[in-house]
Amino acid sequence: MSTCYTIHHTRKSVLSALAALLALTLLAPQSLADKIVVKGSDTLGAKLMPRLKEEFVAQEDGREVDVTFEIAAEGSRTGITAIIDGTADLAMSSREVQSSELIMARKRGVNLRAIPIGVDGIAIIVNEANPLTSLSSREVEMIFTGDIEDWSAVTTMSGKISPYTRNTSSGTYSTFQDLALYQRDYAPRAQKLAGNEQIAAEVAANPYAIGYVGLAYTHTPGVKVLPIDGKLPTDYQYPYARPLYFYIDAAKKHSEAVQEFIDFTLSPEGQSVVESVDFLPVSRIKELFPELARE
Amino acid sequence: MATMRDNPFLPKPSTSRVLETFVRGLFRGLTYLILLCASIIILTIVYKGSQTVFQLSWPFVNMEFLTQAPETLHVFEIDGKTVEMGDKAFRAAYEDKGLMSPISRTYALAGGGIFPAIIGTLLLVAGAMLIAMVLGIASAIFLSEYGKRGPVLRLIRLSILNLAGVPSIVYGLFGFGLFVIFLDFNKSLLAGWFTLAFMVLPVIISASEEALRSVPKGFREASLALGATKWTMIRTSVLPYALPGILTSSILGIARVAGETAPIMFTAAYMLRDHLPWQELNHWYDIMFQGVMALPYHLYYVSAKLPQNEYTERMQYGTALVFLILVAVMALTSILLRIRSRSRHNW
Amino acid sequence: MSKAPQQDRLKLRRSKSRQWLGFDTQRLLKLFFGGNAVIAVIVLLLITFFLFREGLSFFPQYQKNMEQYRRSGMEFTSLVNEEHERFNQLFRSLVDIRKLQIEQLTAQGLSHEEIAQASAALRERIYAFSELAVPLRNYQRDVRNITRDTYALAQADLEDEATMAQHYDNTIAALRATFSTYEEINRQLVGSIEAQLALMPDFEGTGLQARAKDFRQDAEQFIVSLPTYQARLTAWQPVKEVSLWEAIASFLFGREWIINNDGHSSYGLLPLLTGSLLVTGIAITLAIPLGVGAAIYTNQMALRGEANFIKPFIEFITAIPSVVIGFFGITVFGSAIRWLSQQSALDWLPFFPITERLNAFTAGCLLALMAVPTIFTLSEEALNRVPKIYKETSLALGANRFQTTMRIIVPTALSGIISAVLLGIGRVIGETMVVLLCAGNRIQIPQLSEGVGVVFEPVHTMTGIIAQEMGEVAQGSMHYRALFCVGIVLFVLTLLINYIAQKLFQHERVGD
Repeated sequence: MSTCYTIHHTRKSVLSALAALLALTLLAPQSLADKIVVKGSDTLGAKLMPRLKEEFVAQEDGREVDVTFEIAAEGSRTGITAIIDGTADLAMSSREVQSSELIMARKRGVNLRAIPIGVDGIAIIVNEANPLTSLSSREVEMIFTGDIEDWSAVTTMSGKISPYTRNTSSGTYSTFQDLALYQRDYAPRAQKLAGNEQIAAEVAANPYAIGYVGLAYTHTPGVKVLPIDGKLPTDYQYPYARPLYFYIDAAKKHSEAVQEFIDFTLSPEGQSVVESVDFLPVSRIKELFPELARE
Repeated sequence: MATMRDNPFLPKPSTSRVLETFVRGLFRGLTYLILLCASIIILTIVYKGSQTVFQLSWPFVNMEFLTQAPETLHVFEIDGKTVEMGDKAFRAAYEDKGLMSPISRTYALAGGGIFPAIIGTLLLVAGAMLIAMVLGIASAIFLSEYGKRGPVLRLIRLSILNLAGVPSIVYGLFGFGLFVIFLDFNKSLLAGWFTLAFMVLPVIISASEEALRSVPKGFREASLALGATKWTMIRTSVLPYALPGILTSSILGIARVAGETAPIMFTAAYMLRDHLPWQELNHWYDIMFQGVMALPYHLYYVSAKLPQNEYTERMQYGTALVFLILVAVMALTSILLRIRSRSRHNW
Repeated sequence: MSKAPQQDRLKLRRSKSRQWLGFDTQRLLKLFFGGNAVIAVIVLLLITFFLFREGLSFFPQYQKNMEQYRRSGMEFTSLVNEEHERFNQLFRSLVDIRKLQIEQLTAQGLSHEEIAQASAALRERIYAFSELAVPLRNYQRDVRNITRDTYALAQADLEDEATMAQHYDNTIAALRATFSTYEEINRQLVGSIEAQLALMPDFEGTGLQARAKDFRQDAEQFIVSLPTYQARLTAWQPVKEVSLWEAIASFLFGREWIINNDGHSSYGLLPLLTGSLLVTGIAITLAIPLGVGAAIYTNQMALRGEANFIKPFIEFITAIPSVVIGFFGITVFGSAIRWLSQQSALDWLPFFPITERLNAFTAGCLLALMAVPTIFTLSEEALNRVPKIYKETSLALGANRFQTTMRIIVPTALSGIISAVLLGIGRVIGETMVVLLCAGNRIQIPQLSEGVGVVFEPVHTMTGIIAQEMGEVAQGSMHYRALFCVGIVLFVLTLLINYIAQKLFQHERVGD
């Protein structure tokens, strides 16, 4: 009798617990009017985004309601995924959206819109002690795909090459795969590091290292930027130049703050911030990517 | 010397004696090697971090570091001198006055302080522990006092004990899948609370239960024999004696919750959030759905993604020290409590 | 009447319990505690259930994906790639000649310019040789471009079966049409390799000559092996079904974990598992002597005051958060190890100097420190539980203290010590932040051919991969499920270790 009783009431308490959880869930999708959740690229997030945010907040100081920023920068893929999942308002991306993501977005009724905000050249960096002075794009491909594993193939130094790449969520990782590796897979030897800064730091400390970083990260002492096919990353027709984007879900209604922030980024003030962290301004997109401007 | 050799009561030198001295020395060396390694880590962080966190003049702690949000650090040169300024100060000094700002190198997050991260960690710990302690201690009381002894109870106990050893990242994976994505809490305090609470739950249940069970049976029998009800018995004859043990395990749980990075990485922590969680809310309960900055994640972020140079290093070590102090104080309390309770109750 | 108040004062009578919603307080309390226990158990069950639900559904998905990969013709690229890899092997043996040459020239004290001049002829050959693979590479890209859309369409799962089959057939037909190009490429490759061999410069010194000879032999072998690659491609069947076992096996025994966001990803556990095991192995090898040694010392040999100081200190190490230890590793310890390896006094070690500061050894050392408190505390407890009578008997029989410790007490406590070590392993294998920050994140099976030097290789681990890639995945995608699968492996592994440890522990308890 008493066990029967207990079981009955245990079930009741379980149900009520579940009901409580459910109630919490129902409360959940309350998004705030003036909160901007930004997720995505580390290339943009580690340096440019905090600066843009500060500048934006400083400009908006007279407003009645402040804008709250939540920023997470774990790689472009995290940002676009978050837009598709609806967990972010704005995605930072250092690459274009990929077909797999487009398909996923279409499935969920998300309309991804790209807003170019600047241009970056992926710079190839080596340690200062490395006798190399330049590389051809074929050599870059062979080094990062693992065709070449020893420095003696390309320079007058011997020793195993330590290639450093970004982790898979990074836009730089996929863009580089498209631009430099002919979509081939990276060498398994390549070490996947969490951020541009870390790659620069490791290359600065390891004479056998080679890595790639965004333009904003080339000033680390101890590394040197190699010209590729004779061109420096800021030059016209540098093979690894790429636009940087914000992505939003155009199918969703956005708070004013998001639009204001995007407008600000594209305004002269915003673009001067972009330049201050060594990226190229969006105005150069026409010149660098004629095919993009046509679209 | 001769007299000593003649003394028949002195132990003879033998290989086993040499071996004994050797092994003893070896073990002692190993023991002190552990202490040395731990000391090196702690002292490095204390030494470098204290330069950021403490200062020589009143109030002896760097209030700015502890009460400000992180901001970009500007480093520039004026008249051959290198000047460092946080972003707000830099703005106040130049742009707001309409002056041309000097060309500066900027280091993200290196200026200002870590106040939001401290607050975030405290909030996470408080919420998670509330959930874990209510659930955990009540469950422990049920398992040890009410539960019928039998195979079911043994199985439950065994599974809980085993779950205590499951890596925190697995709980993070679970929390991310269930709370963040499936229940759509997004990255928020709530998701972080539940993830952390469930992570320490097995630890708290098994430790509390052990504390309860170590109270001798006689106490309970005596109480019941005097006519006490079951609850009175638990309240007066069991809980007071088990309390130190429960408290110890709970504090240890707090230290674990505060110290873990992996579970909150994808459930609660943001790299940068410029408002405190309770600011700018539409409803009071929205606080539960705010993401926070947290010390462990902040430390991970700044050590993995920012360069290590003289400007950023201070903030990195400062964060590490504040975090270490926060966690160490809790852990130390628990260790001392345990030692005290060990010596007090010897049934 | 006069008796009743007396009874009241004695309070022996059970006071009438209050009623709440028809329950008395006692029952309500029991329900409260019971309810909590049930919730706790349910939650813990839910975790396990959720983990397995998400993780195990990976296999059917992976099976389907592998089938799509095959049917859309994408698999064809990997077959062409095998030939490319074989070519690279040949290419590397050519580079090896120059490597030796450069090392010899450097040893003679030549500057970089002089070396460049001296080995210019060989540099020229390497450059020309690397160009030979370009048609093969381009062919791979073309194949990928032909098949990519079909593959993406199949993954999107938007079309019905018949339309999809039509797409597959079209793609395969387009693919088969390129076979003649492929044969042409191979024909030209043979011709140009022979031309290049004729142009090879002569070398002085037996070492270089031997390597040049190896290279020539390898080139001939390569030319001989080319038709087999071609035959395999013709024999390739795009409609062969993929069984579930194949999917499971290619996860559990797959040697590659490659995430290609815009193409085919392979999820092979082996590099991560071996990485985890290598790091754990290093950590435990270091932690066992330290932890157990310290436990024996503290329990049996130390002075009383000394023990009171050592014990809390070592327990306190548990309190250092793992991310702080990882931070120390990345800022101080990794560089220190590398600096040490570059000292000329240590040159006699075959694997020194090392180039990577973040490697399995760096992570292993730090993890050892984290495992020590677990091993120490539990071993010490095990030693403590050895009944006093054992010790007294041993001493009474004439054994000295040292003999008693080593021959009686430690063997008696052995199962407890082993259980402590197991729990230490469990702790290390599940640790995330230290390996994420300090292990170097290279997703490759450590190469045992390097001997002991393998411990200085960067590795990636199961916990590390979850932490690194969890944020980037979309819910329900294959990558998301693959990470849950890795989570299951971790879960099962730690559960198993814990279970064995507990059994040993209980066994010992029964023993005394």
